[in-house]
Amino acid sequence: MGNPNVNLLEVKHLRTYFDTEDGEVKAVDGISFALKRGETLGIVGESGSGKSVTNLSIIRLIPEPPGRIVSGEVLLDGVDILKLPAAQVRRIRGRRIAMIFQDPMTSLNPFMKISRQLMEITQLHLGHNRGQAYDHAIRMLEKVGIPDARARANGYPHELSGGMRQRVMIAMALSCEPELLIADEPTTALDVTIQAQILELIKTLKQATGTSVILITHDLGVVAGMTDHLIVMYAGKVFEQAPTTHMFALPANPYTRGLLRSVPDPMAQQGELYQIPGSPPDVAHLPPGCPFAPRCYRAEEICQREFPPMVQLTAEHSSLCHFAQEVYEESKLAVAATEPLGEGVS
Amino acid sequence: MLRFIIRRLLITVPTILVVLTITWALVRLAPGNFYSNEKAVPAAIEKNIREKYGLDKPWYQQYWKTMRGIVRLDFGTSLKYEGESVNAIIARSLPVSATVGILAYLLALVVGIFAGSIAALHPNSKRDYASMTLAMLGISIPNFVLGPILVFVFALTLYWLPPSRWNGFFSRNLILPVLTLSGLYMAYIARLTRAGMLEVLRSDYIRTARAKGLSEWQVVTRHALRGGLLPVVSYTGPALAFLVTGTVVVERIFVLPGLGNYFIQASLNRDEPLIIGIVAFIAITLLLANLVVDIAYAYLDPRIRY
Repeated sequence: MGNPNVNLLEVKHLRTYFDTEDGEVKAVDGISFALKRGETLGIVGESGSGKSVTNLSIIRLIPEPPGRIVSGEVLLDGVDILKLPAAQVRRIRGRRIAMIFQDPMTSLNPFMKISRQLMEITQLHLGHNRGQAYDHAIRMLEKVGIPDARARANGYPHELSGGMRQRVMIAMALSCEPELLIADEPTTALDVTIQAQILELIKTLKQATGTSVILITHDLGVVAGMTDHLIVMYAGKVFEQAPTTHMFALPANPYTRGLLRSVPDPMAQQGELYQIPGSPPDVAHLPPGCPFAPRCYRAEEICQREFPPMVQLTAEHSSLCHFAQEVYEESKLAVAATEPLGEGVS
Repeated sequence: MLRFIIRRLLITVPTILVVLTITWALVRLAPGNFYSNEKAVPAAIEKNIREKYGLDKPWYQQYWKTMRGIVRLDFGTSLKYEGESVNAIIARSLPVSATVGILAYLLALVVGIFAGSIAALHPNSKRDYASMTLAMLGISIPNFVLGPILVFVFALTLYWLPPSRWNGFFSRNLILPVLTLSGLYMAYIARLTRAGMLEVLRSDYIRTARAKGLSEWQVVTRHALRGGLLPVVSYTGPALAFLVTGTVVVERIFVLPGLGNYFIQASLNRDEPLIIGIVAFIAITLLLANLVVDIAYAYLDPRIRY
């Protein structure tokens, strides 16, 4: 499966804009990141921050019009997907890059038997005949823990619960052993106990197959235990990028700090839960300065006026902020304060 | 499912009896009768006629006699086409109407679904506007206007097609009546298809299908059409009802010996047995057609169970 140290996926300066009546919306505006084989990348951010558009752009599923990929590169093993003809992109979709979506209630075709929805993908990409495809579908359903897979396969999606449907989606996505699985808020529509089961399932299947995963979520609790790297997005831009443990310990961006502070801590049962004031900006009319400035506790006059630079804090940690270095130092101090023995994450 | 079908069939019987009772009453309430003419009929002759057809008996006896026949599917003989049974007239004229009607509906389905799908796949494009403009015209122009226009253009000006008359099944004579009759349905089905397909094409499961790597053609034919065409399927029931009224007009314009033409004649003649026979036949056909549509619906959408 190639050299594990080489990047499976590299996204460079990706820009995806939407033409709306309200003007040009820069949903994704210059995103860059890389993903190694077998790695899991988390992308977090509020609604409308461009998480989903980024990933739909990777497999060119942006509805055009109104959307269009303005510039950038999406390199899969060094080949730019954005430059490939449509027929070749289709050979990548489902085969090398598979996706699962937020709402399993609506993401499966309600008019088609579950078996057929699964068989379709291996018949298309692996050249299975009906018999092989059926057997494969049953094996996949068993693999994702669907009891009585044969009976279920002959049923329709509406006969399954939400959690079971998401399992079917996962079985479908992993049918052709893709190199990359993009999970777009896979647990948002599910209740908490089912969420944990589904995440656990993705984790074990990932370990068994060596698939790389991009996990999109707005739930920091989800990415904490799942991902190696983390990207925080805001208003179509990467605000902070770092290894997950590092970012949780030493956030170097006021927005990330705000997000982390808004996670409820079951151990500390006092006071009101923190929330970032204000609401996400209208990406059709962004001010010239930092898009987060109006909500930022640390904003100064320069933030309103000038777009912040991407500050490289360590080799793997960068933050988009005029005061990235200062915030980073603040985080270090905070760690030192809560852990007097000095066992801070370095 | 079987219970549903049986229940629906059982409901059909009283429905038809109610329809026929109303029809019977309306024929009686309408002024005039089948033997009246421009000239007054001498009293003695009128008395004879009334006795012969049982019109001298009280109304409930006449009603009972009619209904007893209907239950045995015997509608009696026509009062105008003497000696001919109503059943024979229906058997003779039905194939004409059915041919025109079925061809018109099939044409409407094919063209309507095609045009609607094209429009939905390229929303707000020139193709979309073109087909929807045509559809708007099709809905707005009544068939008694469309028919003469088509005759004027294709028969009387260009001499391409015969203007009227029956010339056997699958003859060129059928082209203009079928076009006239299908215009409205074509337009309506195109609009229904466009709306249904647009909604389905926006849905999450279509995105899933695309993410699987299926081609646009596969996405549309395997995943989108079924859900997108459900509105068209449910429209088929009412469409058949309108087809019946449509054939009445079209058969009149093109002088076709179909059920509709006989129906108009029978109404003008106050030919009670023939009126009731044709109404009964149409009512049964519509009720059965609607039942078939409901069954088809359950087959197409697995979420629906009766």
